[in-house]
Amino acid sequence: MPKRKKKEAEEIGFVTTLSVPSEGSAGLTGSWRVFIPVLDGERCNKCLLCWIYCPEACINKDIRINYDYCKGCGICAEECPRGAISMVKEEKKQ
Amino acid sequence: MKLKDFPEEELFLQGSAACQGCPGSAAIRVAFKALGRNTVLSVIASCTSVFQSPFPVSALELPTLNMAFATGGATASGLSAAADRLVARGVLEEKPTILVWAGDGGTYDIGIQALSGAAERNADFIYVCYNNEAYSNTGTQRSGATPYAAWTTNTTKGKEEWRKDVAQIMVAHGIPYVATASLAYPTDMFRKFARAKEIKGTRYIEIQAPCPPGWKFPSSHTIKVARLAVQSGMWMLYEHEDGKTTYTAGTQRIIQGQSKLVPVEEYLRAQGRFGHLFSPERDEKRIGEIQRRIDHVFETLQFTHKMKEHIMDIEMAPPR
Ligand SMILES: Cc1ncc(C[n+]2csc(CCOP(=O)(O)OP(=O)(O)O)c2C)c(N)n1
Ligand code: SF4
Ligand code: SF4
Ligand code: SF4
Ligand SMILES: [Mg+2]
Repeated sequence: MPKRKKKEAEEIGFVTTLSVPSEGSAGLTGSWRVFIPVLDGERCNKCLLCWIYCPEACINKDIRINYDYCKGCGICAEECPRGAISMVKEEKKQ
Repeated sequence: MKLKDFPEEELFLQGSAACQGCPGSAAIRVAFKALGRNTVLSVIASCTSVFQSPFPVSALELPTLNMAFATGGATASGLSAAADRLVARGVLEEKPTILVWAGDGGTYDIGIQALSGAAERNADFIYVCYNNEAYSNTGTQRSGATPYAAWTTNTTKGKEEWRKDVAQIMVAHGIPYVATASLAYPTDMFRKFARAKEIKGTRYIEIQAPCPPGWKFPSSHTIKVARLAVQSGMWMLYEHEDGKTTYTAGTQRIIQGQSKLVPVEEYLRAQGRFGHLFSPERDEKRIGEIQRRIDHVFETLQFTHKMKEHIMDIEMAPPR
């Protein structure tokens, strides 16, 4: 449970039905991945297309991918005009 | 605005419950960047209700109400009136943007009465329909927005009826702003949201939202399918303000003759929901029907464009 909800429970004795904003509302969604996007920094010209197209907001404006949450949908690789991202089969984490 | 000038701040938080390649979350990101933090949301029963808030956490940074199916227009009217009072009493300095976020089922079918009523009153809010052309959250049933010949779980041989066009119904309401948008054209979408934010009264924006599990294409093709929809003329980009429709981005380029219509077959073939049009055998009749409708629309628009240019040439010509 998020800290704000714990505090709420302590302060008023029960938990309201209000949800609080939090990253990872569905957990570490990186575990959904089968293929992982790998960036070739040499080829990237920071056009920002992958940044705006990523449906999960996992790529920041410096074009760094957050693998904790990247779901491996492959949109960034498909849309990159420079072919700078490739989808690679991921070894299963234990 | 260029991509590099888009705000960096994310009001949609990563690690949500949306499917891989979800068009709903992709649209939310661009919309929220344009609208900013001072926005209050009414989310209508849809996939967004689900991925937006698995209690006790939420993927959205904005104050959000989860509302019942038929209530988009009504809840937003209420939120807007309440915000007006809070501003009048000095509790709020600036009125927040009131935003409804609803699916096509919640707009075309179930919510149209409340939306129409609110639009006729010109209630002050932005209504967004993200149109994935089916009831996706409950497993892809047909809606009034499902296109002709598309498979859904209750149109297994392809829908027999043509889709209706709620954006045009909203134009007919005479509201201050109506626009359509596509995920493949984020700068066009951003500009339309930024424009809508500046206007008072009912504003309607509809975003086509290609849904990988519902339309049966790989999750990596969401943007590609959205782009093909515009290039083939299946989805048209425009905005309507002061009684005037202006076509934008990819649609404008086709009308002005800078690019050619892509055959609709390319768009249909990219999606499993139209698979029965190509196998076991090619359904010439239905593919032809779809193509002809598009051709008629674009022939008329291209003709009007040429006529206008021609008249301008005559007007600009020096007097003899
Ligand atoms: C009155 C009512 N009937 C049925 C439902 C179940 N329901 C929840 S979401 C949904 C589908 C909504 O479709 P749409 O508006 O197109 O949004 P999408 O799921 O496609 O994003 C349905 C039928 C409900 N929540 N309320
Ligand atoms: S789309 Fe490709 S080139 Fe553009 S910023 Fe992303 S990785 Fe770099
Ligand atoms: S694979 Fe999908 S979720 Fe992962 S970074 Fe690329 S676009 Fe985002
Ligand atoms: S079914 Fe479609 S719209 Fe719904 S969460 Fe999945 S991808 Fe998004
Ligand atoms: Mg829908």
